Amino acid sequence: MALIISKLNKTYTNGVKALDNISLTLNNGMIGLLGPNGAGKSSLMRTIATLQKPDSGSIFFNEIDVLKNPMEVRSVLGYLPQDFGVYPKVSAEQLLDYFAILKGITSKSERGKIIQYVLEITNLYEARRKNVESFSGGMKQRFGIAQLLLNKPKLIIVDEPTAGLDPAERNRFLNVLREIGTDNTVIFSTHIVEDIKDLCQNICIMNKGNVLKYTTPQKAIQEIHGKLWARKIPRELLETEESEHQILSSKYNVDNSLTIKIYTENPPDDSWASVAPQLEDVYFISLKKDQNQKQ
Amino acid sequence: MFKTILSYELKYWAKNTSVYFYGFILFSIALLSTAGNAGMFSETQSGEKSVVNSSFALFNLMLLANKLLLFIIPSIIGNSLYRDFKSNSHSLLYSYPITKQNYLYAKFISSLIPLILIEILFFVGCFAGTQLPGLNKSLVLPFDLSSYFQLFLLYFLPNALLFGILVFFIVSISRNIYTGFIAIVVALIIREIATRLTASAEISFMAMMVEPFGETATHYYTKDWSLTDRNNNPLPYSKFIILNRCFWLTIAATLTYLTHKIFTFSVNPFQLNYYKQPRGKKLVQRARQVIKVELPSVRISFSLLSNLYKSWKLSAIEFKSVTYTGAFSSIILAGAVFVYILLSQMNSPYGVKVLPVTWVMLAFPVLFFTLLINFITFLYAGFLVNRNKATNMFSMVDSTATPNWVLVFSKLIALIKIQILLLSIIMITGVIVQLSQKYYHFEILHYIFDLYGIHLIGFAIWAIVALLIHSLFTNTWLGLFILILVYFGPAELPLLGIEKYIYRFNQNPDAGFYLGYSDLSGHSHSIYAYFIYKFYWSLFALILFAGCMLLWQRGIALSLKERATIAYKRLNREIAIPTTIAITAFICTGYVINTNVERLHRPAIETEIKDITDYADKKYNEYEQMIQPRIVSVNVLMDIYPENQTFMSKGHYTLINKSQKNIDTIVIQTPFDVVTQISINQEARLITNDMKANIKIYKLETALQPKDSIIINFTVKSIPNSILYKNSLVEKNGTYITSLIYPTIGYHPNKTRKMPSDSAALNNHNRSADADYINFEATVSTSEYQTAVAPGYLQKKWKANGRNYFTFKSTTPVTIDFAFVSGIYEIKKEIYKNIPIEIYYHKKHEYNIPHMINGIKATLEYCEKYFSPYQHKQIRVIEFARTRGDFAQSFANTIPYSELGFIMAIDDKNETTINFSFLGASHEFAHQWWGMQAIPADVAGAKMITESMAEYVSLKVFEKQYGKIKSLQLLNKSLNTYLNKHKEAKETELPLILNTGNSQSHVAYQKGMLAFNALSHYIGEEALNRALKHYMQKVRFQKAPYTTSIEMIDFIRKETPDSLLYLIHDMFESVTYYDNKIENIETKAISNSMYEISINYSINKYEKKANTFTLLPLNDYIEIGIYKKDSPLPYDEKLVRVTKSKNQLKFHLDYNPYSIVIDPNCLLIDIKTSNNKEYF
Repeated sequence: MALIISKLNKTYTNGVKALDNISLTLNNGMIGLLGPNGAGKSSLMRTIATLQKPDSGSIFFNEIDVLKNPMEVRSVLGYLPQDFGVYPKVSAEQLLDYFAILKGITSKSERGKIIQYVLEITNLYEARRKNVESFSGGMKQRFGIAQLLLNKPKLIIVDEPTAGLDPAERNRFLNVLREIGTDNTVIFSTHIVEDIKDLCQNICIMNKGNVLKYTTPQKAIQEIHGKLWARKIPRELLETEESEHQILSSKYNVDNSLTIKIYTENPPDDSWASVAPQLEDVYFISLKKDQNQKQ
Repeated sequence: MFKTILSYELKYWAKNTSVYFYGFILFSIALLSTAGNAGMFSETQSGEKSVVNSSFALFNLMLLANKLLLFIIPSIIGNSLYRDFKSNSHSLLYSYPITKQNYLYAKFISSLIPLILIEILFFVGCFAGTQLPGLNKSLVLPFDLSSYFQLFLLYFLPNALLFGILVFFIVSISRNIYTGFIAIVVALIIREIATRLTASAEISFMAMMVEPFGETATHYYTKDWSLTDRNNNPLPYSKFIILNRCFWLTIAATLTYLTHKIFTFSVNPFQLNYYKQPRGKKLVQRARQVIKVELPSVRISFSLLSNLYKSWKLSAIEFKSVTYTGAFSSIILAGAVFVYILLSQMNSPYGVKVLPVTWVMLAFPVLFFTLLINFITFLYAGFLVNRNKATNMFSMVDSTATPNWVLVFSKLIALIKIQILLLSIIMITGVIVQLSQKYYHFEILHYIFDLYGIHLIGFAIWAIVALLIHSLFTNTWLGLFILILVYFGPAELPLLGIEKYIYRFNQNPDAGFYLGYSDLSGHSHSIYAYFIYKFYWSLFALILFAGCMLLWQRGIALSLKERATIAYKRLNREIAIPTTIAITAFICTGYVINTNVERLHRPAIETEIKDITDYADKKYNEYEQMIQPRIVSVNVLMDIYPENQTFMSKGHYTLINKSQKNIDTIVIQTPFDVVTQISINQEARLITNDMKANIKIYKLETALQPKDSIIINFTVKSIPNSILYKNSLVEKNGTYITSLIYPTIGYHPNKTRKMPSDSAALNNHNRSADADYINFEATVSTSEYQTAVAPGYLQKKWKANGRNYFTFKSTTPVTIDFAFVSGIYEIKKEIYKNIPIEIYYHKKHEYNIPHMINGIKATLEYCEKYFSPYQHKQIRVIEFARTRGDFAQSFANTIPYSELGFIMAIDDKNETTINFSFLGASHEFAHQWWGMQAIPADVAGAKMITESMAEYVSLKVFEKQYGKIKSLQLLNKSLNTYLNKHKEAKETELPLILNTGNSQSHVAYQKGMLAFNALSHYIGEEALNRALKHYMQKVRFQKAPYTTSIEMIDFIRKETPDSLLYLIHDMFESVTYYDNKIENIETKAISNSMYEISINYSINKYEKKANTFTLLPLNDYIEIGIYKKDSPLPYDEKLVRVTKSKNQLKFHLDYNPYSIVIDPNCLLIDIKTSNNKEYF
């Protein structure tokens, strides 16, 4: 099973190039989509979810030509948009029933069973009679997952699902995703690098409509192993350091000093200590590289 | 801050294209209407013409336009608030340092401004419409800014404020713009309810106040305006209009206050907590973090069958989302109350209350509900189409594999369910009204068939249109507005010369056919045409549905160009093939309907008949004077076939040359709506056979000598019926066919009535032009279940070939007009004074029969006592289907009577209702004397002898039976009817003695009743009836020359004292009105039980001749009535001789009076009676 995206382009009417000749091949498992705002993550996901048409390019999911036969892919698709609303005054149970019908489950008893199941695994069973409209952010996201699961999807697209979740909810949410991701293709976009590190087999870093990096988290970290140096400086020196080095990231310490990181083969001097790379660093390095190239 | 929000909002509206669109439409409406009425496109007006830009005309046009504007109000004023709720920016906005006041006022004022600009554009359109070239200049007044200013200030602005604030208020508390729309609808329904509840003959203060547009208050001042007044008078700035405006502005102010009070800057809206969510139960987070996901197996199906199932299931959720709301419940409630009031006050076309039979329950609310249901459909179609976008749920819905058609179809089903629900209100309320009026004959199937079998089809087609328009324009409000235009558009197509119904969307010929339902014969034949046209338009709707699927928005909102590309891509085989089939079927059906319409016989329309008669009048004018033999006997065989609604008749006339000259040419005219064959029993040559005018002229080989006879044989068949048209007069049950289907002898042009001075005209009586009295014999056959009746006495009846045969024969000579009735009847029989009275009625229509019989008995009593014996040995009243008309007609010993006369709601215990069943039967039966014993010549004034006398007799008989109070009510009703119809009549009114003309029936009937009653009051009933008896003795069954109204008046004059002769001039020989008025009254207590009363009053009498009024000198006797409290009849009456206009009357009373009335017995024709009464 694989999702093959080739030469996908999309320019919006306001001139923004959302997808710039994107080609990707995604295999089974979870793929983490990482990128700043406006990177084209949502555009890419909406395009795969058949909600918008690209200007050119093609997408195949297994044998299905997604752009030509959207209906076929929709029947195996589970999509959780970044930001969604629901009909007012409809309970979770009723709304899930609505989605179950939309997803083609005609048997009432089957709908009943699967709705109960997804309510349980998303821990919404006790809230099933409450109006979804009145749910908290986390409950609403879990409802989103619940509706996504109804048709036992093979291609799952979740757009920044963990935003606004508390740690416990987030943890739980990721576990569910992980469970279903083992046999299926899950595309998962996020701002939070931590989400990806433990879960995703693959990571894809995007910016301004381009794929900057597509690899496994382990490989990515491996690549920069030993090339990452850090140093503690007082706050006042940041400007001078910035002019001298390409600073990858800077973080405040408790004592108001800063720890700055740079990416280079050899450290400029001994004041820099080697640090173990994090996935976050991969992300920053990719973005920096991209910036430099553009300049 | 106020300024900032205001300018921000104004910028928003300036960039909003829909505002320009609304303005453009209102401008166009104004422009086209004014230019059109001013003769830009055609010379439509005849007679006296109405000016297009008089204050009055502009007012009426503005009223119409402002009803349309009402539906723009929510989309502008409501939207200004709703935008913030919808975009969720309110949660952000409300955290800014804005005061509530600033926010609300800036929002309201900024949205009122575009509304005002739209209205100004409308006025500019009115103005521009009068400035175009090619107008009839006499219909345009010079521009007058003040009348526009008045309309703006007095009507538009208060109304816009009131309804604007109402919508603003509703949207601010509900945070839902749909509720704003519904509020407008509910307000309009409530207005209707209030108008109906306060309606009365005189416009009451209450009625003027409760009407929120100021229309009733304005109508109060303008209702008596003549056309000249309408053209020239400015609208008044009068008391009640100002009061009404102030009252509603106060309401608006109250709403403003409430809005201010209730509105809060909180994220969660003000809520009426009817159903709170159960609270308190804390949800326990399960600790388990890692779970195994093993989804139960489900079968996913997108087969056709499962898709249909899905559409149905999804529709339930859509339906619920619309109907489980307070707004919708209020529509249901208001609709039900409205229907209840409408039905409880049900009046027939004659202002007579009818029983709550099912067709009545169905007929009247449907007109109103059609508007309501369509509007709700248009509104909620937009809601449903845009709901996924509006709630931001679209991405989850659109990424499921459900095909577009299922989504569209589920919304269509939901809309149809809503329509069914709304239609059910009619049924439920109808049954409740029936129950409340103790009418227990429920015809639920009839309700179901009409509501869901007939009306629903039309609504469902509109639902598809609504879905298409809303899919195309994703702006709900713009879509709604366009739909309203599209909805009212097709009705206007004939103005553009598009008359064929195959080009008029969702319309059908005889649009109100369901109103013509008869308990006897069921739905009228037009129901077939209805279904055919609806089938045709359903095919078109299928095409629209396909269009809907192509345009359906799925995924991210796109530009128009992208949508076009997507629509083109979607046009795959699955859509293209059925659509092509539907288009082909649509075109074929249209073609078949069209060729059938062209080819088939159809009933001639009025203008065609007029063209033919004009042509014939020119061509055959010379034949009018030609002497023709007269018919002396008629013998016909009439076969009526109710099953296929045809008839076939054979017969012959025997004619005698009654003149002194030889006759060698015979002119025969045959009617247009039948197929006639003629043969003559002598050698005759057909010298003219005019197929257009249906005139045959025969030349006899040997001329007919004086006193010689000739026989004309004829067969008359109905024109075959087609599915679109029924050409025969035969009904399935309750057929009524008159002798008008038979040929007539001689040429009788359709000119205006001749004058009594025309001695040649006196040779024909008004019942026929080719015969005096005849011997009549008819054999009628009908189906085995039906009974047939014709005038004359039943000679024998038998069965043959599975049909019933009846032979009727007149034993004394009768006039040549006769009729056949056939139906399934019950018979009620009574014998009175040796005369059997028989009522043939439809089973279950027994309600009015006792009243009819009483009316006949009392009339028999009265006429025999005062005039002459009844000439027949029997009287029969036979019910016929109301499809054939809502009237009754008197023939020799036979009165066919429409079923409407059998279902009147009669309540003799009620003091304010009049027993029209009694009156109707009495009127018709009185014609056996007045019209059939005294038969007037066919000249002007003939109806005074027939109709006025029948009215007079029935009034007298009614008064004897029901007393003075009720007869006064009847007289007052007649006076009002007369005055109203007089105002509207197109022809110039002639004096009663010469009355004639199609629009002048109120002269012969209502004025006739008033005149004869006044005369009998002043000279005495005995004296008047004595004169009438002498007259009757002279003219009874007379031979030519026949009598005239002049002769009748001569008899009456003999019994009239000289001092009262002015009455004959005023009431019979001229068109004269009084304008009487009580100026003031004073009362002075001169002792404990003695009062001095002084009354100042004015009496004016005018004669109207050709639109000029002449003040007549007075020497009149006027009655003045003094009333005690709660007494409907005067306690004292003073008769005063009045010789001048201003008068004073002083007298003493030994009691304290309550009110004073000039002419308490309703004797005078007073143009305004409301000022004849004054209270102490």
